Amino acid sequence: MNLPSSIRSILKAYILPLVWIFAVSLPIMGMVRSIFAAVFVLAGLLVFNLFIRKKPRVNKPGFSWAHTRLSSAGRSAWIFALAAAIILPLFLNGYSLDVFTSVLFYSMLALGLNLLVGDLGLLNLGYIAFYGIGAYTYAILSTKFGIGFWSSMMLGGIVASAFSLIIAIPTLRLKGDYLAITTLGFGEIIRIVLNNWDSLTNGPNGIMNIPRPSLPWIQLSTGIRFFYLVLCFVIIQIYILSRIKRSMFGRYAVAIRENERASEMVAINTYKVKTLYFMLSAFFGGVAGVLFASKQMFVSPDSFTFIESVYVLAMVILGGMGNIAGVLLGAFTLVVLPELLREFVIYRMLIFALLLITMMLFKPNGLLGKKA
Amino acid sequence: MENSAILSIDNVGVMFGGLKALDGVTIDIKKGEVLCIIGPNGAGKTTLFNCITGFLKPSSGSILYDGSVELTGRRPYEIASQGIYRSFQNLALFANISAVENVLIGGSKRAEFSYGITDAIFRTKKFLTMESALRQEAIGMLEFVGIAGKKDNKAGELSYGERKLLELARGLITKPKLLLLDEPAAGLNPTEKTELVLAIKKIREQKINVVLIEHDMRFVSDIANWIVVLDYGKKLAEGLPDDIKKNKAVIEAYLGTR
Repeated sequence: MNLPSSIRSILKAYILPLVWIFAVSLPIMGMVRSIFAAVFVLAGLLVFNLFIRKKPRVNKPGFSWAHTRLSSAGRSAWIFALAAAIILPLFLNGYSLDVFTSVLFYSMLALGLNLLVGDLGLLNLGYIAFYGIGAYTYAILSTKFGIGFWSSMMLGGIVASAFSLIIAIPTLRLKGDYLAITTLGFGEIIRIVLNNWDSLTNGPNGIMNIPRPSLPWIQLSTGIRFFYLVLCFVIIQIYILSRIKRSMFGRYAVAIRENERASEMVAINTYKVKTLYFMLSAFFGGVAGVLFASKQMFVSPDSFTFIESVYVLAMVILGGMGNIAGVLLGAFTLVVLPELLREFVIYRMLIFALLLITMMLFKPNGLLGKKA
Repeated sequence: MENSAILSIDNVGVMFGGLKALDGVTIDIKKGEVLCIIGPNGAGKTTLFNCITGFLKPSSGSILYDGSVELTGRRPYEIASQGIYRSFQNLALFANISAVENVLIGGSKRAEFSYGITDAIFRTKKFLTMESALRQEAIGMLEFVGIAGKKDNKAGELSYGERKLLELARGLITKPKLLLLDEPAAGLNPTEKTELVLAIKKIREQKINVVLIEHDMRFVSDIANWIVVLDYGKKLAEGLPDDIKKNKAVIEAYLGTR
């Protein structure tokens, strides 16, 4: 059969996906809905091919650090987001407040992981281990030794940093897939240790009755006060990270990501920079873990599985690697979206997946784009 | 005489499996001269550069820098912080960031521009002064090599010749005492080559020692005071450019027989 190439390309671009979608959805959704789904996808493809794909790509001038100031649009976006984060919770019910607190936790994690994945270009698939280490540090210190929330806060971060050395030192020479596998293994080891070291972690039953944080004059136990507490931490973290990024230290990381040999040639100690980034990244993970444990008042190994690491990584990639605002948007999207889709029950994950695929098609560099 | 050598390469050998990439090479690089290493492909020129800059550990021999510092067995960044900068044959730039940022990164490690992490977090006066001084100097370096007009372009978007010049500018901002250039003229058009010759002459005036690997004999005779010929990992000859051109062994090995 020798079809003209134009017909063949139409067949390839439209008919095949149509048939495929129809075939896949038929057993689940029935005839009528499958036709609707196929038509919907066809429309999407047409819009994509006709209006979006043909747009020429515009190369932006290279990003510059200390001397770039936020554009007025960027500045108002940040102020608006901050105002929303402060005012909105006052009008939310308990469930929504919980969802937004969860957004904040994941923001801390995604920002911490972004230091490695976005800035240094090192893939860490075991990041959730540091969250777990922070959470268990607070759980054990508070229930067994009666150490308070605020001192545990620093300790949680420091212990997580110390553990990150265990993974950082032997893996400094590794890159890409090899590093990913090693960190994945590390994450699993931590979870399995937490699960089996009964005398210290109480095994799969977890640790209960973890105290909530308090200040001498205010109780931080109510949902909204706790939300504001975590918000403060997120703001401090954003502040520190954006300043580091726009300094010599951020520049070292980008240099290493772009070209490790060249970085060494301009006298950058690449091992040292990588180790410090590993530790800083783990520190933020640990602090987030302490907050998490104090919110739940309960920790168990189930909260720190591999899939959580992947989830945090997805937030970084979806929002835009290396881009602080993007990473926050990624965390927001990936926490809120599944909640919004809850009423679709069984189709929830299907729609979620489709939305993600669509986003990556339209925005392959993440929602807000990569940033150097 | 001992002290006048910026770099003494003494009997350096490198084995790749059974292959002798370098075999007992001894070269003294004197202060203030532009030394050029020539030789056919696979002669071991880049391997020698890799040994000097710590990307390869020689299996024998020693490399003494400035009469006192042993370079073998050190990590590349340690060697670089001694004041040695090296360009790469196939370029090693930070492609996705702007030209001026590339040069900025080169200067970041200089002591007079250093500040602590707390300076960065709190944006102290020190941070701001250092950053703008560094930026000024980076732009100055781009002007020196003649690509200041492209400072905000991504390094990866520059032309091949501009990228070579950018790599040179990134090296100059580190204030090197010894500059190793691996085929700086390869792939440049005649105008760019002339500019490069001028730039290297200006660099030499600043008391920076230059070692080049190069194939273009006209380019070499323009700037080199001393030529070393490598062939099959061994030093075949060394001498003044005019003598090397007449050297029979060199002509046979490198320029070919007529």
